[in-house]
Amino acid sequence: MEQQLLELGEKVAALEAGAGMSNTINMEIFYWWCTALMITIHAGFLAYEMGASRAKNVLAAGTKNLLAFAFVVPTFFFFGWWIYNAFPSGFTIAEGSEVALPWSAAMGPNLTDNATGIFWAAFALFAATTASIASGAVIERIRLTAFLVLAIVLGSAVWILGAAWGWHPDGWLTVQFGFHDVGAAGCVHLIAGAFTLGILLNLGPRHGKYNADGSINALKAHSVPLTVVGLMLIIVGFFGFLGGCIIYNGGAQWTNIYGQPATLSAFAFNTLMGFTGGIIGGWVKTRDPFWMMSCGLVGIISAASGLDVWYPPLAFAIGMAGGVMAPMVALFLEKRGIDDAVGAVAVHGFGGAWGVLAMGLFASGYPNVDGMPAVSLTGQVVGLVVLGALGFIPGYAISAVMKAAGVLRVPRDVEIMGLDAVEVPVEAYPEGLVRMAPSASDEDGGMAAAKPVPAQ
Amino acid sequence: MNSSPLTSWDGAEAYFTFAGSGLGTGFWLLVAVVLVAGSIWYGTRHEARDFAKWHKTHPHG
Repeated sequence: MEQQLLELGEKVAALEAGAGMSNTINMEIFYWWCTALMITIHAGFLAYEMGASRAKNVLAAGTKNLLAFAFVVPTFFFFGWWIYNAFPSGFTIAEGSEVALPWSAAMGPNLTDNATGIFWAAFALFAATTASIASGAVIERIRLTAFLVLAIVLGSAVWILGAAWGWHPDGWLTVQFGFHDVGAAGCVHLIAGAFTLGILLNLGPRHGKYNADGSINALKAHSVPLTVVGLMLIIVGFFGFLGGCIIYNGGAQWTNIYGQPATLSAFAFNTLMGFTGGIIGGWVKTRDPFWMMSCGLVGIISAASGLDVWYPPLAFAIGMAGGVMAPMVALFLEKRGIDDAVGAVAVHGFGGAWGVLAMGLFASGYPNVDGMPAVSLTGQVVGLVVLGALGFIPGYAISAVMKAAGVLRVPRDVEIMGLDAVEVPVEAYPEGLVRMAPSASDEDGGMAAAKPVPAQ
Repeated sequence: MNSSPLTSWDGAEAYFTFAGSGLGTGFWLLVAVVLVAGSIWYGTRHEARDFAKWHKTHPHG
């Protein structure tokens, strides 16, 4: 009998160990595929940005987008992951954060750590997404290397500091103010939009965008279909992004990033309802497929802070409101001389701000855990202001220094000719299509006067 | 180059190349940092050269 009990105990222990390992591996698998799906966001940004460019800049735009991804990932390894772990309480370094330093035993293959690599990867993709948000706004005139430095600052330092503050179980915005932003409306989108606005103020509009009397020219995208497909790819990738925003607890209920109970079902309800609300809002406001898809993205971002708690029709309404307002914000900025080629400030900056605010307006009172404050309008407004400033100030300051040093923008005649002809060794459309080849002397920036030239 | 920190898989923890060797990981981390920074520096020079070449071949734009 005693022997049988001993054997039974050994079997139970083996089963428990097996179940524990299965949970660990299922967790790895879940975030692996979230990360893979997030790559689709970059396929989308690539198509979106190239489509939004004029034909003379299409490959330069694509090159810039690819390199933003390529430079953010290693720099996020060098210092981004450590920033997230080190600064949840502000600017003092948290105890234990040395495990996130790039020479730590956790920062590489390790048979006793199945979590760090997969979470680092998911966060590295969030970082690359954040940098890509800025990329589209500045196309056709920013110097590639200036942008890469800005992308590294945004993707591997600024946003992740904001995430440490407001998207971390010990982040001071949550601990002190109950800030709630499960889908990173503020921590990713608002920060990226505000950073982008700071750059745009120093970068200035594309040549030909504004006439001497202040009237505005439409510098038309060379391929609206490519932009629309790109936006849909971004939406696909968002399901990976948002999946990465919930914590898989093997053998127990999901939790959001703050440790509050949540379900992936909640995310499913509200992501789709916010998305469709945004599309309809964009359609009602503009009838323009580019803006309809952009507003679909705004809809998700608008609902993102409360994806875990919204009643789905409310997520739809919040998404639709965001979709109606975002094109108005874009027009407001355009009329004030801010040339945002893809509406990134309106879509991400405004959408993120609206999402954070909506959480305070419509979901105050949700309890927190571990004695932290409940969700409140005050907490959300504090988060909005802090994260907006955190994005805007470095974006503006660094680009101002670059502008003063003369390294922010390409020379005027190069801009007029098109970046592809000067910087890219291949042609985007070498056969069968016409190539727009404006002259540098075109006073309108080569828009109306751009002449189709038969391919050689 | 023997970069393995292991002689057996029994009880293995961190097993990446040069794990546990401050010199080895430090060196390759430095190499990676230099490659990233150097690529941006090289890109800056390349970009400036492209612009200069364009101005030379198209003096009037």
